[in-house]
Parts: sequence; C-alpha cells; structure tokens
Amino acid sequence: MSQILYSNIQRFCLHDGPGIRTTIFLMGCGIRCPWCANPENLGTQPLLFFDKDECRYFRLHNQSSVCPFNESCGIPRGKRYIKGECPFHAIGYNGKWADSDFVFQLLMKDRSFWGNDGGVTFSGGEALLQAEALVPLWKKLKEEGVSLCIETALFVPLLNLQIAMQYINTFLVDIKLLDNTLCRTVLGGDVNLYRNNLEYLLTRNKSAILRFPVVKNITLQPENIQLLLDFLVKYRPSKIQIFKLHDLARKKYNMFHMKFWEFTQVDDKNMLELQTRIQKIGVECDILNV
Amino acid sequence: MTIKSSLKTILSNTDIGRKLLFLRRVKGKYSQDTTFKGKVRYVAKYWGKTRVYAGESDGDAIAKMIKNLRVRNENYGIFYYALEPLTTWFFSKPLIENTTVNYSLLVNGSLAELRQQIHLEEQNKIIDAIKKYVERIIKYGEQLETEKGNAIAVCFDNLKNKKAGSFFEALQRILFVNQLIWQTQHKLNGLGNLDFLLYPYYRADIKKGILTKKDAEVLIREFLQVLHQYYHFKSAALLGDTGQIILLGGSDEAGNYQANELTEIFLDVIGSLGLPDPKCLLKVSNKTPAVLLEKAISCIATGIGNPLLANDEIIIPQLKRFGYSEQDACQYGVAACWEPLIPGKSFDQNNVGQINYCLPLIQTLNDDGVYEDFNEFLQAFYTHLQSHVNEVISNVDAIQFQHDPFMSLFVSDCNQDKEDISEGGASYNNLGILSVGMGNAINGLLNIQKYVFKEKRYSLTELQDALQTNFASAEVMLEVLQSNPEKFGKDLPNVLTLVRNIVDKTNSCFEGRKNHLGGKFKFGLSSPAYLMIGQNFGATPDGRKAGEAFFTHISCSETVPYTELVEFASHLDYSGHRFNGNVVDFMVSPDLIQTNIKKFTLFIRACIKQGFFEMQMNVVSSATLIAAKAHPEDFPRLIVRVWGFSAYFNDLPEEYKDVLIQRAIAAEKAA
Repeated sequence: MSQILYSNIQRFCLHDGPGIRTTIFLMGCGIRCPWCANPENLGTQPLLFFDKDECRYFRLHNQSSVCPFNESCGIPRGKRYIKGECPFHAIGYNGKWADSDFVFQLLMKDRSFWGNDGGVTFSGGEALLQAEALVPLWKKLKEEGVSLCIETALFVPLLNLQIAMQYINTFLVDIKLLDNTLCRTVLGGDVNLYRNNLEYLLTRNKSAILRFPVVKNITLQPENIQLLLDFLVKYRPSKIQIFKLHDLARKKYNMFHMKFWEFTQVDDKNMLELQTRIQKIGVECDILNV
Repeated sequence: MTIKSSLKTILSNTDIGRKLLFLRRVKGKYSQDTTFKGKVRYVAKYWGKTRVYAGESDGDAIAKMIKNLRVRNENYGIFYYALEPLTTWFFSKPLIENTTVNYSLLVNGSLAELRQQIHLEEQNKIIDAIKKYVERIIKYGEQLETEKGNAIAVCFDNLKNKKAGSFFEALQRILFVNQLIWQTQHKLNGLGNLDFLLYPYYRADIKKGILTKKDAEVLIREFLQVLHQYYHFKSAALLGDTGQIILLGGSDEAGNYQANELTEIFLDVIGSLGLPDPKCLLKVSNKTPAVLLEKAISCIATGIGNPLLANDEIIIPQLKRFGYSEQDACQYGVAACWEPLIPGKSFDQNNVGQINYCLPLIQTLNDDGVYEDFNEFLQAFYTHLQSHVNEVISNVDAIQFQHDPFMSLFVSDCNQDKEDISEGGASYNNLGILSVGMGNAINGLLNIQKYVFKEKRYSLTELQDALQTNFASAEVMLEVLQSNPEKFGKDLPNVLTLVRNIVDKTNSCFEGRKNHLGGKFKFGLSSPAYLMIGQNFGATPDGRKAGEAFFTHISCSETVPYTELVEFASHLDYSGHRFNGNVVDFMVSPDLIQTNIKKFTLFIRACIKQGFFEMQMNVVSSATLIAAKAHPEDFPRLIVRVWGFSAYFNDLPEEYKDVLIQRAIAAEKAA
C-alpha cells in the first residue's frame, strides 16, 4: 500500500482543467518560483500554519496560558506548536501522509458532477515528484473511467513523466523562464531538464496545454518572450494559456510565516499584446482568468 | 363575543366603519408612524382617496367596485393596465392569496364563454360589471384616436365574445385578468406558464407575417415592465415580495421536456431588463436542452436572483404520489416563492403556517429532564416536535377564508361544482406549511450529542444557562458550539440520518390528516421567515445568538463546496407530505459564474440528475454588498435574492442586508 503526501483536496474546481474537477494538492516541489501561489506545498515535511484571524484564544482575549479549546496548543505560551487538532483550524500542520485507498474515496465524492469532461486534477507542489507512489491511485481512478489531469512544472526526472503519461489524459504544463541562467537563478531549476521533458511530452501528447505566468520584469522580458515564441514555433502545442499573477495567496504566506513576494501587476494591454503575438505565429492562446 | 369583535361587526356595517377597517389593515404600507397623531394624519391623508364598496353579497360588492373603476392609463407603452390601490371591496376574513389563477379562461376564451360556465348569481353580477368596465375601456381607447387606443379598443371588444386574436391581444388579456386580481386585493399573484399559454398566438402571428421575433421581444419587455408597475402596492412583506412569478418550460406526461422560442425569449428579456420583479422559474429535467440551461445560468449570472430552478425529476413524482392527477402534476407551478401547486386549479394556500424546529428543542431543554444517553434526549425532542407540528397543523386548519366569488371564477372546478373556492370548490384544496430553524436545530442536536453526551464537556443545565443568558459569560462555549465539524449541509452519514429522522417524524404528523375543505397538508424546508422568526427567538444550542436569523433554506453556515451541498440536498427525502418547497440556496461570486457559464451549466445538469428539489443562486460579492450598505447612492440597481424573491439591496431593512453580507463573506472563505 503506497502512501502519498498531500495537503488538500478541493471540490468544484473550475480552473484546473476541462469541466468541473476535484483537485488534489500534493506536497513537495523541486523549484522555487518567487510568485508561487501554493507555498505551503513546496516542502516535503508537514508545515505549521497559524491563522490569527481564526484563533479564538486571541479573539476572546483569553489571558490564561492554556487554550480552552485545545490544551496542547502552544500559542498561549507564544509557541507555534500544537498536538491534535484545533477545532477552528487556526493552527495546524499542512500536509498528511495517506493511503491511496483513502484518498481514492475522498476524490470520488464528486463523481456525479464530473460529466464527460470533468475528473480529478493532480496539482501541488509538484505532483510528478510522487509519480511512483501515485500509480496505484491513478490505476484505480482509470479503472473507474475517471479523466485525469495534472498540473506540472516538469522539473522532474524523465522517468516520473514517463510513468505519468501512461495514466494522465491532460497535461497542463507550466512554461516560465527558458534561459538557462535565469531559470537557475530565479526558479532554481535546470532548464535543460525541463526542455527535454517537455519535448518528450509534446512529441507524444499533442493535447498538452501550456500555461505561462505573465510576470513583469521577469517572464515578460523581451528575451524570454522571444525564447517562448521560438519554442512555440518549434513544438506547436495545441494551446497556451497566459495568466496574470494574483495576490490571493498573501494570507497564506502570512499563515505559514513566509514572506510574500511583492510584484508589479501587468496591464491588460500587455496581456492582449502577448496574446496577439502568439496567435500570429499560429498557436491558440487564451487569457486565463483565475 | 369580545368587545373588539363586536366593535368590528358594528364598523363593518357602516361606510365610514368599513373605510376605517380597510385603512387600518393597509396602514403598514403607507405609514410607519405609530403615534396617535401619526395615525390620525395617515387617515386624514388617505381618506379622500379610499373607496370601499359593500353590497348585498360579496359578489355584489366586487361588482360595484369594478363598475366604478376609473378608466385611465398611466403607463407609457402599448398596454392598458390601471390599478387603484386604495379602491377595494369590503371583506372581513383572510383573503385567498399566493396562488395562480387560470389565465387561459380569458385568453383562449371570452367573457361570454365564462358567463356560460358560472352558476352563482353573484358571479353573474361580477361578469356584468367587468363587461361594463370593458365597454368603458373600449370607449376610452376609441377616444384616444391613436394607434395604441385603437388596438386597445379592438382587443377589449374581442374580449367580450372571442378568444384572443393575436399575440398582443393575448398579452393584453393576461394583463387585464392580472389587473383585476390585484384590484380585488388578492396578493402574491403568479402568472403561470406564459411560454405555453402564449405560444399558439406567437406562432400564428409569425406565420401570418405580422410579428417577428424581435417584435415579440419588445412586446414581452413592455409586458414585464407593466407588471412591474405598482411595485409598492404589490409588495407584501418587503419591497420586491410581489409573487409575480412566471413559469417557463416543463415536462409532459410522457416525460419529454417541453419548451419553445418564448421560453428563451422570456429568459433573455428578464435577464436583460435587470428588474427584481417579475421573476421567473425554469422547470428543468434530465432532458432540458443545454442551450436553455445555459440561458438560465446566464440570466442567473446577471445577479437578478432568478430563474429559480425546479427539478421535474423530483417534484412531479412526489406530486403524483400525493394525489395530484398525472396531467396536473406535470403542469405544476408554485406559489409566490417555491411551494408547488397547480396553477388555475388550486385553492392550495401554501404559506399559512410555520414550523420552528428550534422550538421543540428549547422546550426539551427546558424540561430539565435526565437522560441516559443522546437517544433518550432525542426521543424527548421528538415528542415535543410532534406536539408542535400538530399544533401548527390545527391552527392552520382553523383559518376560515373569505368567501371569494371573484377568485372562484378563475379557478377551475369551482364553477363546475358550484362551490366557492373558500369552501372547497377548487380541484385541489391543500394547505401548505413552511419551516424555519431546521439547520440550527440539527446543529444544536449534533452539539448536544457530541459535547454533552459523548465528550461530557458540558451538562444540559450549563447549556441551558448559557442559552438563557445569551452566552453572556459563556464565550468559550459559544465558540465550541460553532466549531463542530458535523453540520447541516454537510454530506455526512450522521447528519443525514438525523435530518431524515426528524423530517420523518414531522411527516408522520401529516399522514392521514385531512383539512376542513377535504384536502391534505404539506410542508417544506424553506421559508421566508428565517429572519422574522429568528429576530424574536432566543439563543439556540448550535451557537446562534438570540435575535439572529435562522439559516436560509437548505444552506450551510460554513463554507462547503457546492457539490457537497447538492449531494446533501439530494440525499433528503421529499416524499409524502414533504414537498412544500425545499430550496438549495447558494451564494456565488459574480466573477466565478460570469466567466464559467458553460461549466456552471454542466454543474446544473449534474445536479438535476443528482436530485435536488429546487435551487436558487444569489450572485453577489461581499465587497459589493458592504460598499452598497455604506453608500447606497452608488449602487441604485444592485439586486439580491432575499428569500423567494429579489429586491433592490437598498430597499432592504438593515438586518436583511447584514444577513446577506455575512452569508457572502462565509461563502467566499477559501474552502
């Protein structure tokens, strides 16, 4: 029985692939994009979070050194620590190990709502890092006729991708920085690993969709855009979706005691210009509204 | 006889007395001043404008009123529609309301044909009066010497002896019947399946080449705007609560889904008009075409709060089992909000009583009983519950309705059976009860199960004390009670079992009971009164403070994914007497639905299959609501769904605004 490390399962997701989907967020990622919207899923250890807004100990201005809702919680004593569960999910550990069977039951809850297009999406973190461990779950879902989708940045060993390709129907692949040095210094990734994986994928799976975050001064730099366009001309993926960053994750950064990376937002004009340039070279391009 | 009732009788016998009684009844609409001076000023202000007609019989009074209606058309537009809010016939008992009459009697028929069907002399007088009124309208139309005047004159002339001769005429006749229903002071008047009623006329005119689809859209647009007139007069409990509900689509006896071009046109026009009223309801089934579903979602996404979606797959079988005929069950409509009835054939008064599920719970706590385990407590609760429900049923059955020869004219079978609608003349004579506090009661019971009996964290006495002091020095307990992960609305076995058992126990009180008109009783889990009753109810063990609103229909106080709420709703049992409206209520972010219409359409299709009963969506963002509360002048056209109707946010009392803001915030928290 294999175990997988995941943090959350979200039902009724409309932006994680075709149709209505249930998305499972796996833990662990090999790169560190400054603008990551799921920072709590980057590490491979359960991570502590503290949401002061939900903390009733603070809300009730309690003075004692013991929280009336969970005695083992360290917050009253100034320590970020808890044993057991906080009934308000104000503090806890993000990430749990679970058996595939257990996860399977949870994922199948919305089976009736997926219809022909919907299904399960694997996200994270980097879901492909746990490809081997995910195989039993993928097998089971496939036996049930569930459509599988994966969101990946592809900075993983080729073997992981090859395993996944036996089960996953739709690949949503991030494409960010294509220059070797920038990829290494900004993301912490090896662009050659990425390129090889993507080439492998696109030559065998034409339905893969690329996703490009439009980040001012970084991915939107002219040199990177040119590399992007060259890449698109060479490999002609079925579609690329471009999207702006958002700051909905700001609170999460706070909760997990991490520093939010401030960014300057791009204009809609920039988005439309980029979309036009991509469409001119004959690749379908959508602007994704998250 | 009490002094009050003697005084009432004396007053009812004089002109002045009748006027005073009427003004007293409608005061709430025109004056909020409760001081003596205020009341005197109110009476003085409206005295001259008020006309109350009485006669030898009720029919006579109604006839007199209609005979004296002023002919005038205050509206821009091409239809004739004139209401005099302060003109009435005198009646002393509760008037039948909240239903839909048979419009086809005067659309597919004429006044002459209607006269042939009646048997009561007082109804003859009414028809005479209507005819005389019609003659005056014809004269008025002719005098205008305009195209509009001419069209009206011709239309009303045809009304005397022929069926409607065109699409325009059909619409005008519907408005005329509607005007008279309101004029006779009936409230919350529905309109029925207008797409089905109007379609033959639409198709005939298109074939003849005298109407295009665009023309029809313009006509319907005007039609709806005319209905929206007299908004203040027509609104019952709150502004917007007019009950002007248009049914669209539906299944036939073979199970096929019926809809036509007009179904789509109505949805388009209602969506683009952006008015809170009239509203519509789309009946849906597994066979509803995707295009139509998508139109409905697009309409909902504009934020006007309708169409309400009613699931034929669930509703029709239950209606049949209850005793509605197969043909009638397929043609079901609803009362003002969502309570099923058969338009044109129902006396069914569907909102005449309220069950408060929290009442027996508080009563059980106040018993100060000693219980071995939760099950014993639950049994005690059931006893109180059944006693409460039985009392509500008896009270409801005791209501004597006003003798109503006018309504009887327009509700089928009353004429055949020569019985007035208030005496059981209609085809169906059922009484409907709504309920509040189910969600709160369930959460309260789950709390007692967990924190009192399982974890032994609190005793029943401690809980009682906390409730009686409104959690004054029990802040920790309040938080604990709100933190139970098992909640109404969550698709969990323990929750579902409890809900089903309680609804079963409720249902058993209804079984075998007949009302004094020979019909049955029914109940449902939605209610307009979630705030009205909540405001006057003390704290409850789910962690609800005194005076706060109960949950709105079938919804969850916490953020649950929409799919979970629908799963929960579809696992409930709607059989037996349980079908008097069971609405799943969603708060949806405008961004989410407006950019995902196709996916929401897929979702609704799946929901229909899963088996919800009825569904409505409130498409609002908390940010907009908060801004609108602070600066209403910046949001003059912001519309929200309140209970079974939509209203301008700015028109709502502050408490309702607050409830909506709280619900929107809760819904927006990341799941």
